[in-house]
Amino acid sequence: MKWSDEDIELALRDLRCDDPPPGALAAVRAQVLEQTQRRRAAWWRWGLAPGLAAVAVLAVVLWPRHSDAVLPEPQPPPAPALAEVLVPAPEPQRPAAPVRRKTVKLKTPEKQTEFIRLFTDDPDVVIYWSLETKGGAE
Amino acid sequence: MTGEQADSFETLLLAQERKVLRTAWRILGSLEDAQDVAQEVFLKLHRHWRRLDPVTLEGWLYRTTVNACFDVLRKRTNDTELTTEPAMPPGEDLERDERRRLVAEGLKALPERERAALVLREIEGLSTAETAAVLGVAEVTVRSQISMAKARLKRWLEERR
Repeated sequence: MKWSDEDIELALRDLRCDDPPPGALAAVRAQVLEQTQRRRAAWWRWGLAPGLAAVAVLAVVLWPRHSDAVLPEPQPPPAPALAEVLVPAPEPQRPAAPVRRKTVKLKTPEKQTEFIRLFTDDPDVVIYWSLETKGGAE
Repeated sequence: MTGEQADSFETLLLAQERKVLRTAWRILGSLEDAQDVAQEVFLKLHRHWRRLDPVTLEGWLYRTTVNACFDVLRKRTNDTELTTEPAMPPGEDLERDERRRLVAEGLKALPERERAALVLREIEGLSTAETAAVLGVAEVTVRSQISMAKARLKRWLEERR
């Protein structure tokens, strides 16, 4: 077979129309689409989980500030029932101190005796009438 | 990626798959390796296609394909068996079909840079400037590579007589 430059160029142009077998094209397409779908699924799996974790962490960090902003009014005093709960812990018991007896002397008013002398017609007869007072009461 | 975006990527894949696989096939001389390269190119395209300018998309595809082919050729050992071109089905012009088959075989004997230049300009129909842009060389280099490739191919074909 004799080869001229034109023969080679004609053969190269013919190769332009020489497509790969359709089965080969379909196989490539199927592989590519499968891989892209798998990547998309992996993105959801590995991208969504850290995203949700980050949202949860942010929610925890920002929650107290958020609640302060929402509650501008002062809180009412704690309910009585709550007060019982908030009883301070009992202090450690100390040894019982010795009881001191105190003797308290009550002041009693002194007894005062008064006499009333009563004169009679008879000069020899004198009547003394004693009056006793207790605590100011006569 | 939404359903619409997935559809448009699939549309893009359908429009470009023939071109990418054919280029890789002619540069590598093996349909199996070409399929691997085409798959790699389209997975790269899937990552970048939203950022790519449609005007430069074709150049990007050719450049990525040629670079992936060069990577395969560098890794390929000398004893790698290349598939031989299948015999053409009987047609009206048997001699023309046979010439086409022999030229496809002869391409495998060319140095990789010359082969890529010849495939892009003579088979894919790119201009010299476009071929130079894809290969990252000057236009004069492309002209020189194509001229040497044709001369080498002719020698190889005449030795086969």
